[in-house]
Order: sequence, then C-alpha cells, then structure tokens
Amino acid sequence: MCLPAILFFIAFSYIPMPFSYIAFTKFNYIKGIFGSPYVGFKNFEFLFTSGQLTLLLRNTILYNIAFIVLGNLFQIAFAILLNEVRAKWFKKTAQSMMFLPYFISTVLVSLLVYNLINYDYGFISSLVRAAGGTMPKLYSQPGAWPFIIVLVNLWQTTGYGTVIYFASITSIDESMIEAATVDGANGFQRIRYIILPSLKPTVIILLLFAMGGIIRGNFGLFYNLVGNNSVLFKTTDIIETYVYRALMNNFNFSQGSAVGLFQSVVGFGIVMIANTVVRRIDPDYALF
Amino acid sequence: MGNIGKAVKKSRMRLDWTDRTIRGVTYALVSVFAVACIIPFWLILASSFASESSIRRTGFALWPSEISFRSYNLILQSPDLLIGSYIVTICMTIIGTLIGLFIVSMTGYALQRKDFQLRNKISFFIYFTSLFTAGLVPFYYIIVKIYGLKDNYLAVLLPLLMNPWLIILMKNFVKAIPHEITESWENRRRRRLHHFLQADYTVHDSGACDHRAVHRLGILERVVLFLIVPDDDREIPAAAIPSVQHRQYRRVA
Repeated sequence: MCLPAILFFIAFSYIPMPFSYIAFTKFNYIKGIFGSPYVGFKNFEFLFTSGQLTLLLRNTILYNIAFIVLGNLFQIAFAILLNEVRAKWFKKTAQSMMFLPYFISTVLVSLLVYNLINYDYGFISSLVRAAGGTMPKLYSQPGAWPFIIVLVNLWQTTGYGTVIYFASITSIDESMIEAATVDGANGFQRIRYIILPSLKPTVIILLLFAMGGIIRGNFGLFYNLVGNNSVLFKTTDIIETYVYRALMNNFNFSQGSAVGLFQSVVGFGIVMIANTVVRRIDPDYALF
Repeated sequence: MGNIGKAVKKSRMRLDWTDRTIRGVTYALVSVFAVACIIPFWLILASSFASESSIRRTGFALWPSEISFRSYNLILQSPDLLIGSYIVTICMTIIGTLIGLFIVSMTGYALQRKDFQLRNKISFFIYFTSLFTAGLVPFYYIIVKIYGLKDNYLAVLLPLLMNPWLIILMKNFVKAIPHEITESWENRRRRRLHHFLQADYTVHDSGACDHRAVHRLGILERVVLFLIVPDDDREIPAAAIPSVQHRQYRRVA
C-alpha cells in the first residue's frame, strides 16, 4: 500500500538529491551538472563573505521563532474557542471567514497591507487622520516591520492551523469530557486537564516539522511585503530575499543551489537534534 | 442507564460561571478575529468598484464614494483567457486532490498499523524528504531534462500530489480509529485494501474531509511551479495556459 508513495518520493525527492552537486560546480548548461567543472565551496563564499550573514540569520531565525511560537499559541487558542462554540451556524461561518486569508497569494496580501497602511490613502491612515492623529510613515520605519510581518503571518495562517488542532480536539473521546463534567470539573478545568494534554502529540509533531525550516524564510511573504525598499532591510532582510537580490541579475544556478543546500543541511541538523531530545524524553512522541 | 443519561444531560445544561465566561470570551474573540479576516477583502472589493480619483482623494474606504466599473471592463476585455485560467486551475485542483488524497490516505493507513513491520523505516524514508530537499534548481533540472515535462501540465500536477506533511497528518487522523475495529474487520474479510476503503473511509470521514481542504489549499497556493514551468508566453496556447495565480502574479508584479 505504501508503494505509490514510495515511488513518488523517489521520483521527486530522492532522484533530485544527488543533483545538488551543482552547488559545488561551475555550472555549464550544455555539459550538464555532472560534466561541469568542480569548484569546491567557492559557490558558498558569496554568502559567507558578504558580511550580511549574521544579520540575515538573525532575521530569518527570529522571524521563524515568532511565527512558530505565536502561530501555534493562536492556533491552539482559536481551536479551543471554536470547540466551545455551540451555535452551529456561528461556528461554520467563523471557520470559513478565518480560512479565507489562507486562500490568497502573498502578492495580494501585500496589496491588502498596502491598502491598509500606506501613508497617503491607506484605510488605517484615513481612520487615524479622521480621529485627529498623525499616521507614521510605516514604509520608511524599519522598527515597525517585525510587528507588521508577524501580524500578517498570524492573520494568514491562524485559520488554517486551527483546522489541524480542531481536528485533534474533536477526536477526544466525548465520554471523557462527560465523565469529567459529572465529576464536577468546570469549564477551565476541562480545558486545562483534558483538552490541552490531548493536544500534546500534535504540538510536538508540528514543532518538530517547523524546526527543519527554521533557517528557511517565506520568500513570497517577505519579498512581496517589502520588495526593494532598502530602508527596511535592516529588520526585514532574510536569507531568501538577500540571495534573490544578489543573484537576480546574473542568475547563477550554482550559487542559488549552494544556499539551498546550506539551509537544508542546517535544518536537517536541527531536526535531528530536536528529535533525539524528544526521543530521550518520550519515545512515543518522536517523529522517527 | 436512562437515568444516568439524563443526569449527564442535566449537568451539561447547567452552566456555572466558568462556562458562561468561556462562552462569552469565545464569541467575542472569534467574532473579532473573523471580522479582522474579512475586512481587508471587503476593502479590496469596495475599492475595485471605486474610481481611481476618489481613492486618490479620500483613500481606501469601506464604501466607495464614486462607483466605477473601469477595472472590471479592463479584466473582461479578453474573458476567454481568464476563463481558460480558471478551467486549468479547477481541473488541476480536482484531479490532484482526488489522486493525492487516495494515495495519501492509503499510505497513512498502512503506516499507522502497529502490525506493519516496516512502518518506522518507511516513515523515516518519507519524512526525510522534508528535511533534506535538493532545492529548486536540481528539481527544475530533473523535471525538464530527465522527465521531459517542460510545458506539460503534469509538471504541476505530479509534484504537488502529496508531501510528507500530509501523510503524517493522515497517519494521525487514522490513528484515532481503534485497532480493534481494524482487526475485527480483518477477521471477516481478509482483503486489506477493501477493508481500508470500507471501514476507514467511513469511520474517518472527518479526517478525510479536513484533508481534502488542506490538500486543495496546497495545490492552489503554489504559484512558483507555474512560474517556472511555462517557458515563454508564446508557447502557452497548446501546452500550458497559466493558472489563475500565475496570471494574477504577472498582473500585479
């Protein structure tokens, strides 16, 4: 039964892997990847000698930590809240509305953000002005962007993530909750002692998955929101956007793959460590 | 038995202060967040009917002060392209979801069975692909050079059929089915695939449902693949009408 999936992953994941050798070559399209001359770690140099690496790593990792921690807290909170909703129509409508942001591409998201906060005719700007306040020029203030980007990310992913937690809440045995109620557990206690513990495996799996991508950024989100606005780079430049700008003009296959390979190796290392720690504590929760 | 059932019902009916607080907070927070999710869409909708000059004057507003259909006229000048894009997107989504869901649930089902000895090895085999990806360049190289899928819809359809994340998710959904049910079914009918289709699909309909949603989204959101696969606009008519996302990207970018 696993055969189709195994073939699929061989075809689309394992066969491309050896081809990441391109990162160590001076790629020549005619000679092909394995015919191109070997140059060692030369393709990695541009990233490490740029002087930007600390900043890029810091931004990428901090953003990801914020996305993971806040994202999961929000998702769990809203999954529990939705579970408490009794009116069916309200639950369905709210769920659909919360799902909506996930459907749209980041191109449109950036447009939405611009519509809301641009200084001249943004919606929030007009509100602030109508209330007599002064609107800061956000597109030239790097300090504001970590909040904006995290907020946008939460706005976009919370509804989607809620589905996963909501599904694990609904798979809790109903009789357990009823028994607790009969024994006199109040609403808070039901959440604290039954619902939250039952979410633990899901949380751990999601965290382990997220760990692998901790030095990978969401290029679409950052590039579309910030674009080439270099005033904001101090707080918004992540590895992907930097590499994109560095290689945009003379698109260099080898250097592009070198960065990808670097991210894969580091992500792999982090997940292996995290998984080993989890397995030490409780083997049931480890991914493998 | 009847009495106990009634007692349970009664105690659920009686709301103490904690239940009331939770309920109040719930409705308030969920409403606020849901509205926050909708407002930007409403703004886009409203401003799509607003005239350019009114936006310049007063900014984006919840209700357009001057109504204009100029932007719609612009889009609908060549409706066949737009419709074509939608047909491509919708067909890809439906076909991809059906095939993908079938394979994913089959694999998830096999991987959660405690009596399947290879399950840990195969889980790792699948999970490893999400840890260590070759990257876009080798992937593109393989798709174009080795599989020869340039300007082919399959280049978008196939790689998006599934990913490790969906399989692990499905594994957890199926896990919720007690092993006893699986066993008793198997004592009666020995054919596993059959059993998988009949028992697990009906028992775990909710899992499959959530999955369909997740799956569909996964396919919808990938603009990137459409960006790399069609080589040139000139070659588009026969082999690759871009998806809606692709078109949207080019219009805005």
